[in-house]
Amino acid sequence: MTTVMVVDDEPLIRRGLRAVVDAEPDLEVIGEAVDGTEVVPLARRHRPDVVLMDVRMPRIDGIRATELLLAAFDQPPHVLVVTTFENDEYVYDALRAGASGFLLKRAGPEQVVEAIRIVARGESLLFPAAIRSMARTHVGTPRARRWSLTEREEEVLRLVAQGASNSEIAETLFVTVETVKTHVSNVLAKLGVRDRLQAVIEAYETGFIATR
Amino acid sequence: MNPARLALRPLGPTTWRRWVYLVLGGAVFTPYLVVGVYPSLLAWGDGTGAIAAAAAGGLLMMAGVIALTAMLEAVRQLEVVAAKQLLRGPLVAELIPASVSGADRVRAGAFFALHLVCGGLVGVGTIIVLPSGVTFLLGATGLVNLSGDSPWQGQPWPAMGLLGIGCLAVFAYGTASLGALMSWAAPRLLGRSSTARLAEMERVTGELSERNRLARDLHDSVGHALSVVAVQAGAARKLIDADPEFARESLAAVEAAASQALADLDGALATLRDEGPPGHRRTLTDIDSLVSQSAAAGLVIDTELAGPIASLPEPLSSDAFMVVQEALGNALRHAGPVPVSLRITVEGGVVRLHVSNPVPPVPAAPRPSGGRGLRWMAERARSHGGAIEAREVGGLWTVDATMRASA
Repeated sequence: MTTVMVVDDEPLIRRGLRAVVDAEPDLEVIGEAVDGTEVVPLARRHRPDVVLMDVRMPRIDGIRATELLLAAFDQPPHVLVVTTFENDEYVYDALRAGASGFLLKRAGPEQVVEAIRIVARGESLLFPAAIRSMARTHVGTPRARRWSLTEREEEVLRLVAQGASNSEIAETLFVTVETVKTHVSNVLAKLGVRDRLQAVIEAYETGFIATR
Repeated sequence: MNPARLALRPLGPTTWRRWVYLVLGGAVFTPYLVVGVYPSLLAWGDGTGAIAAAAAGGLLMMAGVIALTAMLEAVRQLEVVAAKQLLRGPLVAELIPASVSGADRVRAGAFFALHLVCGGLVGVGTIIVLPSGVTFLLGATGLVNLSGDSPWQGQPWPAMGLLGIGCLAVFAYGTASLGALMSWAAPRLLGRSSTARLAEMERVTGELSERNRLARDLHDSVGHALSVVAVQAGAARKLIDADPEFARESLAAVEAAASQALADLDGALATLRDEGPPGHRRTLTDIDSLVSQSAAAGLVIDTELAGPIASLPEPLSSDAFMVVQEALGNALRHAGPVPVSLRITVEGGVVRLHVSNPVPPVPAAPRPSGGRGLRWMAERARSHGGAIEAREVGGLWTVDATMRASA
């Protein structure tokens, strides 16, 4: 059973998301927070696997709440940012803060539950085009790169940024999935990031991959 | 400033820089003058005696030639550079557009003509009055003997001395006055249109930011409502068989959210229609009327204003006004008719707003706006390089905002 916490200041959104999630046999909503201030205490009490996090909230917004949440636990829940607008400037900040992906409120119920299952497995929800366009508006001068990758690892990072899965990468590079996994974890370690999404953000922000 | 220094001020470097400017005008005036007096010379030589007519014709011709050249764009640009460099004064700070309308060119032409006339006068002063003054002074001291046929020959030295000083004074103060006249006229004739252009730019910017704000608010409120619609409709579709009662409630929520969005759209349209010229936008200088309106609605407001509030730039002042308006509105909505403390401090281009009111004992009902007002205030503050902090401290709900004038 995957446990979910819903954070949104709008009761009707919480109610709708809860109904959609609870209707799935393998998912369960175990808590609701109405703004960022309640997130960490509630997460401590309920220990959810996944947090559906609204970005724009009064008092503590979703970005800060994500930071607090990820800092408060050794094994923090996976944060899935839920947003009204795709081009919301806050979404990118929330992703940088360590969210595992983002989801539009207008996405249908099927996509919502699918996204929860993906991040619950520890994977990132990557929308390569959306992240590239967000990075384009946010990244000014690329900051200095403090890591160096082997040629193969660079290829892997480029494919990750295009949204390729491990098996797709394996096919492209004519190697086994196991080898790809090793490369990916080496890349994450060298970049000093938690997951693939953070790796892609790092790749854009250091200019390793051009945003345009 | 003591009178002696005041009297000597026109003799300072500014006047001599302007003298260069005026003498240049006088030099440029010379060829026009030749055109002007040529008919008179002809009439003189003719001996026909139609001097008056010739002189009038000559003057007309001269005016015509001056008018023709004065309207040249190159002449305007030369005048702008020369006036900025040599006259200085308020014109220096002005941004003069590279190209201007016909009316602006006429004004610039008038300035050129004024430059020629004043320059001609100063030129005459420079070649006649100034040397005369020096000569009289030298004559008065006996260093030089004035020529035999001069009527001043043999005059007593004090009269001659006074005459010399008088000539020098007329020259110096005359030059200073004409220089001051040109310097006064420069921004009015050369630069006025650019000021108008700047004002126009400011007006357009203000209007755009107002429209932007409206668009953003609309985007925010309608987007919010449509999110509710999407989530609730999705949930209803998914649960319609398993839980028809839930689906029914969801559809009611969809209905309500859609109506709310339509009401917001209506409101925005009304705002667009009612919006007078942006000059009518209320700023912090209108805070008294806001305070009395809010008092009429039941708030007991303790107002404290400090600093040069009227000196704030319009966009900042108007956004700050709206933040106060929002904060007072929130107090009224959530706490009812309570005492409110309002403090507005302006210091060094930074506005600090502080609004606090007691928190009601019973928490307010869930807000349909979902805290959008606070979010909006935060965005306004951020757009002016500031921040907003809203929190409860010891039973008081306080909103503190900082906004600064952009450099």
